[in-house]
Amino acid sequence: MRRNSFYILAGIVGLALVGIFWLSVEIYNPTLITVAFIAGIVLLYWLRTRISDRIEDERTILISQKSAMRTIEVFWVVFFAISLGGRTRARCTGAPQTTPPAPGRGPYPARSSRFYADDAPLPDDLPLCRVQDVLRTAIRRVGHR
Amino acid sequence: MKNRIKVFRAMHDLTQENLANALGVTRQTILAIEKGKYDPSLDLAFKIARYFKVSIEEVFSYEGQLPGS
Repeated sequence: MRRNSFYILAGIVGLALVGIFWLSVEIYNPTLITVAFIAGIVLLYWLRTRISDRIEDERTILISQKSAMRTIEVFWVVFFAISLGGRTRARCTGAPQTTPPAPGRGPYPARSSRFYADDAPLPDDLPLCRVQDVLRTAIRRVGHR
Repeated sequence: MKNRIKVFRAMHDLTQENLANALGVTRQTILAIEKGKYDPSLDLAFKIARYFKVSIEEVFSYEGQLPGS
């Protein structure tokens, strides 16, 4: 089998998987797409071994290794940054704390700012990131009047 | 690292694809080696030299400086 034939078959398998995904959504059967995806990948790997044109040698393997290293280097930075942002956001929105609050400070307020009356002063221990939510809610209330 | 693969290929009337198939690599690898964009492994370098029935120094020449020299 030539390399171009493999690419055509890979496109057909991809389209089939898209159709199976749509079908699995329609009939609400997640197992179907899971099994179909694994079967599709196995089929593609088997077809890849049937290619008569050589597509892999020491140079392509080296390029793949370098690409994988770069991907990991970029991925861990992005993943860590997103995790930090998510953790920060969770703390700002008053998600349940895993550690007890410092002595003398109460728990962070709940996400909704409905606990604050219109003319009530903001509490001293309100995190700065929550001030935005409170002001936004207050502005919306003024707009509704 | 410089090489004379193109010269030897011409001497043996070989295309890049023919040489690549004979050595078990892709045509793109032979092209990259000839252009100096890729240095082959020791194994491939010896295979190239043996294919042309010459010594490896006749095909490849190292032009880098050794540390301390």
